[in-house]
Amino acid sequence: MAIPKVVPGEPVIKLALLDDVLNLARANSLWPMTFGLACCAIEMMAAGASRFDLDRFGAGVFRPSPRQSDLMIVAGTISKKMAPAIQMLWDQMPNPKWCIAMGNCAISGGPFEYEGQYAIVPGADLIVPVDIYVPGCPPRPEGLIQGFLALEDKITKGENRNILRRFRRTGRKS
Amino acid sequence: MGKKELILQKLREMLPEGAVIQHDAYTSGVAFVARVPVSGIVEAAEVCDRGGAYLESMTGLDFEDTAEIVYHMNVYEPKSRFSLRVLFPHDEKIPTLSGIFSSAVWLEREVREFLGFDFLDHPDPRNLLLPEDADFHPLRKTFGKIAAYRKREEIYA
Repeated sequence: MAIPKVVPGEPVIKLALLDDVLNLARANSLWPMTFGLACCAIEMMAAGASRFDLDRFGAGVFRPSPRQSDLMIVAGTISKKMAPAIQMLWDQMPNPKWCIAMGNCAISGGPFEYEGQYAIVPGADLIVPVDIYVPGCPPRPEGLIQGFLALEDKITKGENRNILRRFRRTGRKS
Repeated sequence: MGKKELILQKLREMLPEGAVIQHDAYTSGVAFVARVPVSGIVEAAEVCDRGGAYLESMTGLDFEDTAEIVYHMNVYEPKSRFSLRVLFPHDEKIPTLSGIFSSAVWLEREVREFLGFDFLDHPDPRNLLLPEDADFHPLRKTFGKIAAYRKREEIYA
């Protein structure tokens, strides 16, 4: 009898179907953390409010505690003084968790990154693992919503597998 | 007579002739400027405090030949902001005003970290905005690319 190879870090028993179902649930009920750093947070609030309405995607439940949330949106400039606090918030979030870097500052430092700058961390990916980058200065709420949809597709491993996706791209053969 | 005029009168009595310059038109944003020596700043601040003024903001300037701190004071009356200016050598320690105005603690922390001016007997000399381990002073003119590092009289004609 062939003994199946055990890869370190991989679960011995894989519940593929259950994982798929759980991922569907996770992708369509993302709970972001109430946490903003700069002007991008204003657009994030607009995305959560009635006009753009993140609740359409199940993602409008902004949690006031990192222990209840599974998505961190780094919305704004990360100053060196703030970076340890962001790392701590990320560490306090329970797995599975995801991170969106919103805006140019969170992606690469934006306009504040220049030679000899002393104040900011140029990029959220230097301190936390980032899943989705949403460019813009600041990005429109539509941009953030597209980031959310991209993250949902990432969690369910493909748009076609996300059978609960509220909006589908048109003109695309699946 | 308003509170500002009373303070002005007391500062005139305290300071030498010509140290207080009045700007009646208020074009520079202050009603008068008082040039105070380092030894007299605590006394001048006490005069302002007793006269009903509060410390609005503090800023530091770095020149080639001297350092300067500007204290902006204000009274809850129209057009009554005024400033106290202190000139001192870069390595001199400035008496803290935190015993008189509690808000001076944070303002002096900011001036200390950004310009490297030391305050005598400051109750909380930690960094306010810069990282805790920062050992540089970004608003010093010698920080980074050096440009416009001039003497005071070259800038204030």
